[in-house]
Amino acid sequence: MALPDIVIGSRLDAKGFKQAETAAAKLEKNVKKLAAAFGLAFSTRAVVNFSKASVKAFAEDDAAITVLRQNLKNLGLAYQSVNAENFIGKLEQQTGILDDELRPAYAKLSKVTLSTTKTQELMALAVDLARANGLDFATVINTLSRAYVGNYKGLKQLNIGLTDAELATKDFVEIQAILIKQSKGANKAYIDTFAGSINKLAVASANAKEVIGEGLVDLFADMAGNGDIDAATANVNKFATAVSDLLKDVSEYNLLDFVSAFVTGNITEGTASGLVQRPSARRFFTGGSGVDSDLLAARAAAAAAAAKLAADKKAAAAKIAADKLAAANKAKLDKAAAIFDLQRIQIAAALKGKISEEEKTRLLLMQAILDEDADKAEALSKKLDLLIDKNIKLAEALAIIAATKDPFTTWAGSLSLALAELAKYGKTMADVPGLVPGVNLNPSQNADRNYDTKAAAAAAAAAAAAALAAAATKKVIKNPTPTMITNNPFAGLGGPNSEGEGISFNPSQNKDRNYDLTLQAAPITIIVEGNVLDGDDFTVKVNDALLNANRQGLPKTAAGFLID
Amino acid sequence: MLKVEIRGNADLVKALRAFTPDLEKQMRKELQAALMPVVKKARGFVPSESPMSGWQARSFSEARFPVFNYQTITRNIVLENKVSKRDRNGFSSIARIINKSAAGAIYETARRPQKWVGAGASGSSKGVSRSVNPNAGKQFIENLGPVTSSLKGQGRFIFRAWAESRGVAEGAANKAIDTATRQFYARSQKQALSRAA
Repeated sequence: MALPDIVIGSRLDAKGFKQAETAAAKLEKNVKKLAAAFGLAFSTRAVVNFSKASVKAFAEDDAAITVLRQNLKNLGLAYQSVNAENFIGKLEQQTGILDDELRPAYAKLSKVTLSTTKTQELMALAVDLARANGLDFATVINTLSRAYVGNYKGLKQLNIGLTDAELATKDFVEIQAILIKQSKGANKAYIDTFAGSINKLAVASANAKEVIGEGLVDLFADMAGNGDIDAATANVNKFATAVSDLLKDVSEYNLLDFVSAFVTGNITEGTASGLVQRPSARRFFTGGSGVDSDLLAARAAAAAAAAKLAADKKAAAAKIAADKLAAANKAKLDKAAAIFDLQRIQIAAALKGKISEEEKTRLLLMQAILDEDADKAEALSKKLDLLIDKNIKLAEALAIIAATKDPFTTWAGSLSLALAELAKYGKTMADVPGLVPGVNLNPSQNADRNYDTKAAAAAAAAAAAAALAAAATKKVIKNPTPTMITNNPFAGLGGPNSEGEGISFNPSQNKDRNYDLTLQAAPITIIVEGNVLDGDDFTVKVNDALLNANRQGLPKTAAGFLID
Repeated sequence: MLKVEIRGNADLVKALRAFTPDLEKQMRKELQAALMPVVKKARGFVPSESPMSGWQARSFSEARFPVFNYQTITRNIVLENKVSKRDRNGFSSIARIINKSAAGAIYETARRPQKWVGAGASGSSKGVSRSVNPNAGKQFIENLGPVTSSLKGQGRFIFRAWAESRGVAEGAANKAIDTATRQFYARSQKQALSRAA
């Protein structure tokens, strides 16, 4: 609701209008630039610059066409080259995107799709996506070419609205359908705008440049080589060589002043007459008269020397290469021959056997010597020396151990000597104080059963005989015949009157209620304190109890009860 | 020396505040002095009681139609002296006298009764009268009294006060703005202005 008010000091704030005015001015400037690009500036400089740009544009365009054609050929789609060019041409006009961008994109998509139809489909989609998302066309092409082979990483920037998980579940056809739905008509909407129209004009301008550039190149070929670009190139090369020679001779013949005069345009009468009078300089302008023969000879000699040097270098390089090849071949042959070397075979066989460390080292050393492997041989030699030292020390140790093996071997001799010495003095070993006399031999002594095999055998035989005798005396009971018991087995156990032989009969004893039927017939009175319910009440109570138990989560079975 | 050009009120006040704060302060003071009498006069036209018993404030309200309240109406007749936003035609103002309350706005501007449709009619209630009395709208406006025309519009409080000021307030206000602007240009011609702290 507009409130009632009285405004004071109201005035127009023209800031917005000024902005609009500035924008209009900029637009006008841009359009002028575009016009200038078309060569409408009418100045010589603009025409020259435009010609240069045109030739460059034509050259780049021609190279791009060739590259695309080659790419398609490599992919087996050479027959589609014309179709591709037509498609790119139309797309360029419809989208305002230059063919310089469209051709690499086409090649890139062709490489992944290997299909012209699919490529063209994706190109159209890429244009819409680029317009819809405000992205660079090349970026969108990159994203689509990756997505086509399953790499969906770049699709996020297209604002597709799917999470990573959702993307992972979809194939490219489904994703393509979503992208088409989201971006359909974006290019058409863009191209209808002012910016789109400017883009279309820029495309037209670029194409015009290319066409004009093609004409200029043909014109140049006609001028320089009668329509043959190779001949034109050769002529250009000749011209460049001549200029180069001229520049080389400038310093040699003190022509710097004349050249600077030409470059700066400051030609005076003096410099011009001086130039004409110099025979060495005149040759460049009069077709070569006055050329110094010594100079030519020296130049020819230098060229010959350079050629010879180059030939020598080439020959030396060839020789080095041949030597290398020969050495490599020899190494290969030696390796092959080594298979048939008997000595090597023997060493190899010996190494496979069960050998000591020292033997193994010796064999390996021999092998290294045969292989002429000095480093390995040296290492093995050192190792062998160490092993030999160790073995010598071991042998010495073993020799000592062998000498002390039987400490009693010299005892008999020692004792004989001792007895002989004692006999000299009419004494025996018994007379030696401190010695304990041994037990005298007793031939009748019972032999130790543990060591006397005869006694052991006799004892065993006696035990066996006793066992047989015991077995013979045992009775064998087989199938016992049942007999009727006719006597009283309890006779003699005593009667009821016998004291201490059981409880005496007591006729006045209280009867057992469980077996006395008379007692069973007597009524039993049970006093129940509380209410006695009828059947329905009981059912209700039980039901309530079950429900309560259920509410309280009480178990319905006893602890440890196994449920079927 | 660069030429200083002020486009619109926002630029003027910004420039004054940035480079000549004294001029800005002076301008505000003069505007206040020129326009506050109008505001006070307008407040004086507000009756202390509702012209109709049915429009009086009450403890409950059966509808959303704003009720008459002397305090609310007088308190909301105000002077705003800061630069407004641009309107749709690109104009902005430096100062405004506004009747801000809903009841005050109705009292200020009501001139034509709404179309009577009655209580039982269907459709939207916006812009139509659903009173049981077909003449309710007409009687309401008659009870409010006549509107007064001024060069800024027609109304019963602020426009009446503005009309009665006979251009004195407007002249004083415009003079204050022009003086500030002129003095600013004059100073910028004399010396290079520097931004105030």
